[in-house]
Amino acid sequence: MVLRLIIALAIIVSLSGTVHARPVSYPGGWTFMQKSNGSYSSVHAHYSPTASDSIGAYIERNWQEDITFTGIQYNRLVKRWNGRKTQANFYAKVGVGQAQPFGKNGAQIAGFTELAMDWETRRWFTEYRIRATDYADNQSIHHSGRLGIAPYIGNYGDLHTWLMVQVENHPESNKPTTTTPLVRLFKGVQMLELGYTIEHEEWLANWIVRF
Amino acid sequence: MKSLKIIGAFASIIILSQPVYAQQNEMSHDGHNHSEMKHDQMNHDDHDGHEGHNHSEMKHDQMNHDDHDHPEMDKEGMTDVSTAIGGPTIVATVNGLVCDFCAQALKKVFKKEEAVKALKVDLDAGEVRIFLKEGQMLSDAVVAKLIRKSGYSLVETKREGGA
Repeated sequence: MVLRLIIALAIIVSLSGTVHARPVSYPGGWTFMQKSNGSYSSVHAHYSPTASDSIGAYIERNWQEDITFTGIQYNRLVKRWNGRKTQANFYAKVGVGQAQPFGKNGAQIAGFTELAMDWETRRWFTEYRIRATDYADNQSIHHSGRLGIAPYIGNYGDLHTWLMVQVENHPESNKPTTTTPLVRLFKGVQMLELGYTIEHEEWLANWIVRF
Repeated sequence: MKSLKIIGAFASIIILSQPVYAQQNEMSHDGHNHSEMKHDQMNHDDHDGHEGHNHSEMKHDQMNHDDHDHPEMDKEGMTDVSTAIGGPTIVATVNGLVCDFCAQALKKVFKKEEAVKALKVDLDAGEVRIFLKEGQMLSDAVVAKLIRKSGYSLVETKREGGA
């Protein structure tokens, strides 16, 4: 109940974000991802037939550009490096669907592609990703990076806490580079992220659950 | 625009809150059959709400399970880890175990194996303890394959209790 209230409050207060978490689950696993920030909100539900692939629906409402994208997203774990106490991943993602620009007639074919790389231990987390979108009349390329540290190390089933900072670059924006300190809370199959983008004065809230 | 955001937020709450509730219920008691378990094999050290009655005189399926959890129960539908200890066990050292999603993946994959009674993941040690059913076996090749299928890699295995 408490968790539900926290999530509800987080979503109400916020509307911002980018989920930086593995987009591929275990074979037969389902994942539900919700992200929100002042620029856009999205949901992505996907199924993983293998530990290297997932496919599902992706819906994004871009508040800044006034565009809604609806489509299918495919995620591929291109390569994973499993170390004794480390893990690194290289992902490719592609989405195809339609974008409905508000205030204009008719939906248009749209899509996006993204490459993401991460490296993590149980103490440190780093990630870089680059994403190109073509949503109707709106095309953009942006990239972002993250650095995180776990203030304590929990074992399986414990509540894990991460303190992170995310730096994003949107070249076409009037404030191209933004910084978002955030907290990631991770327990069992649930992950919640809460942050605040300093330059835009907007909250970030992301939530992932796996089944 | 602002009203759209608020509507979107509320819609998200309604949609998203249901899976949380469902998952919490599932993690408490689904996946094992109380009536088929021996009550005296269960760990009661951490129970709340049990004062005033004698466990040894009660049948397990007569007890009220609404207000307590079994902390030692495996939450993935396999047998209680505490009761599995001591039986045939494979200790697998695994590379890439850095978070709970990793542990979850291993549990989901291994629970489908007929020979597996329970699984315990130790992130600190980077080890997975695979408790086997009596008379069952799992070769190193199968263990390696299942770990690879989960997305990780096997370093070595050790066998205990005649596994």
